[in-house]
Order: sequence, then C-alpha cells, then structure tokens
Amino acid sequence: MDIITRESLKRWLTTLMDRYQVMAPVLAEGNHLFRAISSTDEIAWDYYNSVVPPKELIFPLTESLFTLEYQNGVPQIQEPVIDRQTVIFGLRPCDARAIAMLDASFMNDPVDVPYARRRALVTLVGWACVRPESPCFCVNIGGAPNGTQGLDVLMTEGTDGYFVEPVTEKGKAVLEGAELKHTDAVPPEPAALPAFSTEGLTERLPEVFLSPMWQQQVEACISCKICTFLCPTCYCFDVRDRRDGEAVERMRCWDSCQGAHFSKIAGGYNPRATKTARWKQFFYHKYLYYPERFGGVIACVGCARCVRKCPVNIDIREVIQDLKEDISA
Amino acid sequence: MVAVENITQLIQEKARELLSSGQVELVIGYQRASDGVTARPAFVRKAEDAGKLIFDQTCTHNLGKYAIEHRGKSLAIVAKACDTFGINVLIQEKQIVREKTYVIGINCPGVVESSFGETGDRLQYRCQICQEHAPAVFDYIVGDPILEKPLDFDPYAKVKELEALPQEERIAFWEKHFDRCIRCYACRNACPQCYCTECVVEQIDPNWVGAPIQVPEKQIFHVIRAFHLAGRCIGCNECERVCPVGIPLSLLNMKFSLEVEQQFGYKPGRDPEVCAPLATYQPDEDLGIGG
Repeated sequence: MDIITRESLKRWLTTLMDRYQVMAPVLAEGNHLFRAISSTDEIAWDYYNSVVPPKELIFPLTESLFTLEYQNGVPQIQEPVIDRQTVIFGLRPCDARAIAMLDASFMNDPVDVPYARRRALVTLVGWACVRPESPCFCVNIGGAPNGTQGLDVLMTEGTDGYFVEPVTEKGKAVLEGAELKHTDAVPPEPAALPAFSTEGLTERLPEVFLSPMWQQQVEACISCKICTFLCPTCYCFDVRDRRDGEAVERMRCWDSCQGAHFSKIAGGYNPRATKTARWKQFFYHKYLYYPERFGGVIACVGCARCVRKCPVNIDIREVIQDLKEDISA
Repeated sequence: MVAVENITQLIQEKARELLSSGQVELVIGYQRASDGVTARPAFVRKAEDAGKLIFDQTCTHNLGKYAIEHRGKSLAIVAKACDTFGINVLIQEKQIVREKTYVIGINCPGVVESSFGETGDRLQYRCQICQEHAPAVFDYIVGDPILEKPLDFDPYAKVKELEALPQEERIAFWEKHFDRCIRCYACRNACPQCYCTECVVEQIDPNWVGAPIQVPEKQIFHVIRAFHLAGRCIGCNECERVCPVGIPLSLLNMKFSLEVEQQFGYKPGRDPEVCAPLATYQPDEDLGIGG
C-alpha cells in the first residue's frame, strides 16, 4: 500500500485548490462542519465527525432550480450553473456510504438533474475512523469504520502518515502528483464497537406497524427536525417559488417528515397528525421502505448523529432492541 | 455533583401515591437516558413504574412543554425552580389549568452541562447566574432550601459586551452564527413558551417567511421568536442547549429579559396574578396610539 506524510498531504491538497474547490471539516465556533477551505490550516485534523453530514455539499439545504424572468414580455428560464469540480476531503466512511444511498435514490430514473450534475463533479476522499466510539454503530448495519463504499479514495491515519487506498478511477486521477511512497506496513485496525444485530428486522417490520411500543418510544419527541436534518441518508425536500417583482425563482429546500405540517394536504387533513406517526415514518423509511425499493439495503449507516443530538434522547438503537423483543414476544 | 438521592426517593414515593390514589393519571418526570449518565423525560402512568423516576443535576429538560401537550388531563409534573416560572406563565396565559396540574417543585441545586454520554460538575451558565433556587408554584416541594448568595459578577456581561459593539459588528456576529442554523426548530420546539399551533414562520397563506434555509429567513425566525418571548422567557435556556450547531440564543433572550425588567420591573412567572406587561390588554387602557 502507499503512504503519504501529513506535510505531503497538505502540499497535495494545496495543489488541488488550483483545479478544485476543496471542502473539508473545519471548526466553526466550536462546531465541526464541512466548509470550503482556502488553506490546509483550516482543516480540523482531530475531528470525530461533522455535526451536519457532508450530504449538504451535494444536496444543499437550499438551492435554486431555475429563475424565470420576462425579457421584452417573453418569459426566459435560466438554470443555475453547476460546474465546479469539488473534492470533499476527510469525510467518514459512514457518510460516504450514505452518499451512495442518496445516489441510488436521486440518480434512479428519472434522474434528479441538479443532484446528478453536482455529484458528477465531486470526488470523495475519506478518512477511516481509527477510534470509533459508541453510540456509533456502523458495524452493526453493513458498514465499517474503514469501509470504502461510496469513496473514491480512503485514507487511514497511521504513525508515519496516511495510508492511501484509491478505490475508483476518479480516485486514482485525483491522486496524480501526490507524493506517495510504497510501504509494507498495513493500516491500523479500527477499535471494536459494541455489537448488536439488525438481522431480520426489515422483514418483520410490517407486522409491528401497529405496536403500542411506538407511542412509548416517541412520547418525549418534540417534533424538531434534528434527527432528519442531521441524518446523512434523509433527503426530503420542499419546492417553493420566490417572487421578486416580475421574476420568479423556484427553490428547493430541505424538509422533514418530523415537522407537524409535513404531510398536511389541501383541505387541512393531516395523515400524520401525531408525532408517533411521524417518527415511525422516519424509521420505516430507513428500515423498510428504502430496502424494499433498493435491493434490501437499510438506509441507516449507524453514524448515530440522531442518537447524539436528539434533545430528548430518542435512541434508535434502543428502538431496534425493543422491536426485536416485541417481534419475538 | 450535589447529593440528590433523597429527592429521587421523594419523587418516586409521591408519584406512587398520586397514581395509586387516582389523583393524577400521568406523572411527567425524568428517567436515566440511554447513555447511562444523563437524563431524559419520563412519562409514568402506573404506580409500579414510579421506580424509574430519577432526579439529579443532569435533569436539564423543561418538562412544561409536555404539560401543554397533555392539557386537560390530571397530571403531576416534576419542576425545577425555573421550570415552575414557566408553568406560571402557562397558567397566566390560560394554556394549562392550575387545579389539574400537580406540581412537584424542586429546590434546585442547578443543572450541569452535559451532552450524550458526557457530564461533569460545571453548572450551566443559566444556573451559575441563578438567584432563585426555590419553586414559585408547587403542591409538594422536595430538596433542601438553598441559600441565595449575591453574584460577584455581572450576569449580563456578555450581553453588554455585544451591545457595546458598533451595529455592523453586531450584525456580523449574528450572521456568523445564523449561517450555521439549519432551521430544525429544535429551539422553538423545546420551549414551553412557544406553543402556537401554527408558527408564523411556517404559515403558507399568507407566507410571511419563505422556506429557504438561508441567512435572511433564519434571521427573521430568530428575531421574531425573541420578540415573542420578550417578557415571557423564563431563562431555562433549553433553546440554546438543544441547538445542534451551538447558536448563542441566550444572548438574544437575555437582552430582551433585561429590557423588560428595566422598563417594567417585571420578571415572568414569579406570580401568575401579576399582569404581564407585554401580553395583557385591558379594554379601557389608553395605549397612546390611534384616535
């Protein structure tokens, strides 16, 4: 395998900045977030994971789909230009795996044009988690702290620098010019995470849809959108028009099934009027509906952002555990 | 942390008594969280489940939020001193009925800073500046009374520091912080004083505030919320605690609280009989506006 020293890595990233926009984890007022950087000094080398997942770089919180303006009485449609080659550096394998799941949904026929355009321009250079900690649970749900799915390059921090593993052709291309050295050493193995099983869960979810367990699990929910907005695989959005004089801009903005009005329809009826119904939608989408559509893959990568940041400690691992008991009871 | 085992025991005993006698149908309190070290809200309906209730200095949540959700039911609620101020505001604003709300008030030693799996000895800032450790409304009180000591620092120092900056710098300060806001509304939804069934920023017709998650919309949301809380915010600071991206919302809320206190000599929730200056209207009042 190849290895690169921290100093060479910085030089390589600095060279990349001529051709690419480089996004990396930075510390913004105490919060680790992905932002465009202009110097490698901005990188939070010691970060664990970002608060907001890097999905926001491919599927922005808000984006313009088109603008309609009248020119001499004739309506003209302008689409935003998406042409910036981008390297997302330092994302975790769980988040890269989540991007692969977003790809399955957005790039499925009919292809989502702005997503596909942005995605084609992005190269993902990931960092393995050498010291993953509970409540992370990637290993229990098909991922690994050093998994390569979704990545173009995987880097693993060792004592003498970073082990470099190109995963795709795109990854090989971006590494051109990097000062790599061959080594016989092997990357460190990630620390073990507590094990629990999600086997058989998807298959049995239809029969527990009406279980009273859901109401108990979700009783403390305050219907905020943290679990969904911080989830690297959630991708619901709302499309709205913004008018400015004669011009109209069509925007798409993140939306969340946890919002009380999310499912409300014309006439005022709300099919998911309770927080239990709403939270169940969050869970079922990941553990049943997505797997049903996309080859059995559970759309949860075990990043545990929802566990860490839930204001009232609704813990998806506990729900999985309780469901298993409910199913076997 | 301060020893509070006896508080836990007293809460459990009271909950058992209230549920088995049928005086209340629900006890809202705290239980141990899934991380084994912090706390989360608990909802107890059977006397035999009262053993899961706890109290310690990680019990940060303001449970008044759930009193609104369960309004109409006979319930008991565990409330720290500041939480009881919030309960008084809800009574004053006719959101909950005093007679149906059994308040288990706590002489509160303050709560510590904590996050999932992590806790320590450091009191939250709101507790460092607290000078009212005794509940304002209760049916049963637990915990030893706490001696109030005058502060040897200005609790509003940060607010005043920010206020002293030129306008452009203040705008830049808030823009920098609001840039991180993701409009998850956790601040609003954790707040017991935010109970509108349809929030103005989510109204579609008329659409006062657009859906974009961009700085102008975020700024409008936070400023509207701060105005709506003026003279009503009791300083529990749950909004700031639940914010996933660390926006210092207490600075906004403290600024408004300071203004209301200076203008009207009023602190919300201490006595529900006292007229709330910005939330009360008397038909014969001369407002000094209009004809």
